Amino acid sequence: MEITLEKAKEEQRERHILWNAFASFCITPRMQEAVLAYFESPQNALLAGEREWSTFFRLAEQLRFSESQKQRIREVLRGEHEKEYECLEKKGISFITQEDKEYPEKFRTLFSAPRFLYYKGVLPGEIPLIAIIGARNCSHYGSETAWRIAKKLAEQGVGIVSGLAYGVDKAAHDGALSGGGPTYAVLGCGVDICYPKANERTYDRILSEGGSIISEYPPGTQPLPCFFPQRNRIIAGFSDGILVTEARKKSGSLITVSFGLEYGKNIYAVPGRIDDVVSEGCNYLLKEGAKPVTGAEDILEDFMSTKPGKRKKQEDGNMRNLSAGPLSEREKAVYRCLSIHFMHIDEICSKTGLDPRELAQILEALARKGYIARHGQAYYSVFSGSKQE
Amino acid sequence: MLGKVYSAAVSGIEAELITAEADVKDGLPCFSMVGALALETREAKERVRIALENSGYRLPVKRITVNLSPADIRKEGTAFDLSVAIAVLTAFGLVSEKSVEKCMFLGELSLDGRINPVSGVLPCVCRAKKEGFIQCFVPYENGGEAAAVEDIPVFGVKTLKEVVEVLNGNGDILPYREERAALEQEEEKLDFSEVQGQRMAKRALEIAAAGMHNVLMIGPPGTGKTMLAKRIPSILPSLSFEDSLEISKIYSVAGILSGKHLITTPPFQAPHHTVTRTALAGGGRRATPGMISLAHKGVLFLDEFPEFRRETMEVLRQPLEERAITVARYNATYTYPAGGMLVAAMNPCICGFYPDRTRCNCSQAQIRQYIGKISRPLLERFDLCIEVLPVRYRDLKANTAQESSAEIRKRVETARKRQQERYRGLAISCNSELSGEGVRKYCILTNEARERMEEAFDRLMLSARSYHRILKTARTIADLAGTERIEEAQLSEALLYREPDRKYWGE
Repeated sequence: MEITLEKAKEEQRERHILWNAFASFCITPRMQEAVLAYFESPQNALLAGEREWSTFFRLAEQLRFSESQKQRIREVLRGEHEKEYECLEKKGISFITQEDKEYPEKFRTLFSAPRFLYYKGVLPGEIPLIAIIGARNCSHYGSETAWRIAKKLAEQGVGIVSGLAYGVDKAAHDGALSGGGPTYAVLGCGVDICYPKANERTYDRILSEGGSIISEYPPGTQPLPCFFPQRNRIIAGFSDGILVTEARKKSGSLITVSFGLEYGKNIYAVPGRIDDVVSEGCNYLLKEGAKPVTGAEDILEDFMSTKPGKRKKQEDGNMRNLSAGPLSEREKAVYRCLSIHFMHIDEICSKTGLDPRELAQILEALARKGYIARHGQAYYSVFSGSKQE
Repeated sequence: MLGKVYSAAVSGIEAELITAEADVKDGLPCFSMVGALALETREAKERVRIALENSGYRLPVKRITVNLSPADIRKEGTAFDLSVAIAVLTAFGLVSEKSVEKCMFLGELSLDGRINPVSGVLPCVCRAKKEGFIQCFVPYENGGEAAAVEDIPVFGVKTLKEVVEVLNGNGDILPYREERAALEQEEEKLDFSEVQGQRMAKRALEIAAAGMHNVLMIGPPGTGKTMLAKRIPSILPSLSFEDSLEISKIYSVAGILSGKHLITTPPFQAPHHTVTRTALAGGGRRATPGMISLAHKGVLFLDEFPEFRRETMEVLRQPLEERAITVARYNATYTYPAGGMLVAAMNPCICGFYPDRTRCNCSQAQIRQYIGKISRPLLERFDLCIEVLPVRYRDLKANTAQESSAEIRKRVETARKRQQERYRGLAISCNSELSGEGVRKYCILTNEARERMEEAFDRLMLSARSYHRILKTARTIADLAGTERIEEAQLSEALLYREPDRKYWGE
């Protein structure tokens, strides 16, 4: 029994070495398909001689290999595959292929599923996964909503999947981490590269909080624009539902959604104002039949089978219970005119009719008590915790 | 025979006495000049010789040597022409030695004997008065500025002949006289009442004017940043005569005082963002004060701040702290005052609409790159920072009565008086000039305010420099309110104007 187990392990390792070597020169799925169609297995491809490869290059003319690409392939063929795989192990990067039983079940049924995945951390178990995605250049509304919903979902044991980009992606990861849940980032570059660099803190926290960084690209692969649509297909395949909090009409988020539709996932969208360019994509999705989401409950009810009738009263978007707070009348008045959107201090002035001098004191007090947040010098919004001052 | 006549050379914004000595000896006819002279100064010999002849003074065939002493100070410019000519005439006995005693001569000669205007007349006349001179001869065009110096008769002269006639006692021109009132011409002023809305910005500028704090305005294009900045001089306290004289000296040295008499309103300088480092800071082949000095006691407005070249921006750092700028030239070091307030305006990103994401589609990297053009140390030198909101049509249309500059100025002047009283006997006159020591001594918080500050310091993760800056601003707000200690409300307001979070801008 033990011998067979060890043997199986040995076999798996052999297989990984081969696939890893294969991955290092066949980066795009299209090329992977072409190579496998011709050579039938990675092993054959790696063992094939110069003549066979030359034939392949001639036949695969439509793939337009450049000379440097060909050179790279030849180098890899000559390289030491085992050492490279050991390198991977040393870096703490795991590798799985379709033939492994750890390979996520969800992917097996998918069209164009990744043949192998690299990851750091722990892959999700049997928990519902929701992808929260949206614009990088999002408004405060977009990132704030993503943060709140991610937090609520994570608290209810839902895993959050996103792409570690600026804006909505980062807010979703951060929200999930604040909610104490695992969160999963699918990258368009090697898993050892944090892109963008500024999200390094989030990258580290994802790993330390029991989530994982996932990519189909070998470690060291630099982020190229052409990798991201492919990355989006993994996000879509990985999750059980896709929530878009803010997206423009033509955006990567909508690519993810169209993959999601192909895979039969639930699509959720946060409604935006009809004149907001940044919400145009979301409003379009809603028109096309996506489920409108104004709170985490709207998503949870689809996944949690517990007593749908006894749903708690949905919290009104952003308002805190004012009566509980030790706020003065004027503080309440100022707080009431603020919302999740940025508001300039001049606007607050004219809405409340207060003098700037008085207002300064009130805003300072509200910020101190944690009711509102300051953005830049003169913009304020209600506080939810996503952006600490 | 020897002739000896006084003139002066500008050094920084002060003047040095220069003696023009002329010696006439028998020998081969020759006119030579010595005394560390720049090219244009040495050429005086041709101008003087021909101007003298054309004015009707035929020089005997002699060997003439002129020395400008002290001979180790480098002399530049053409203002010595007149003194050289008079020295030569004295040496020939055409003007009595006694009549040129304690007189100062300034002016450039043209070949027909006319006297052309020169720069730097005001500091020279000031120096003459200090040395106890009895009269000055300056070009007619510079008469106005020279007459601003009291208790010394000044002759604004048009030709060489006029000078000789006055010296020999048969001229009929009188010392240049100008009523003080005429010196203080009121210029047409821009007024704050023309700006609709922008309550926060106006309030911040009032505080800035009261304490001479540096201000950074951030906002989308067309929100009135420039409009606001241009109106700051109208709420600055009117200049004292000493201040006015000091500023006029700077303008005189820069050679841009002509036409005006004295600078009596706080200056406003708005260099374009292509300005060079030298033009901003001062210096150049012939050292002249830069824009930063021309804005002394007034406003230096830098519009489109991130568009300035980095080296140009960074040159501001030292003068902003020391309120003076030192320019080293190869033969001397000049110090120019630079005590104006810096007002900078910028867009938050390239398109200018951030954080309004419905209009701004700049990526985070682009925004960071744009904001990043302003270095942290430079950002920290702004005491107040305000984000200006686009004006809404409602406000534009409303046309409600806005506070006029005169009303604001009244409050600013009261606050400034309070500061001057407090800092009497010290080298400073307003809150922004306080040192760390001074902050401890004069920015005293009430108990509640101290608690608030302690709490805010931790919550906002302030740096020591920001902490001092907030206290200075709070001090000015308290001065505007007329309270001895800084109260909680005043501190809260000061906290409102601290620089925008780098986290917000950079992330």
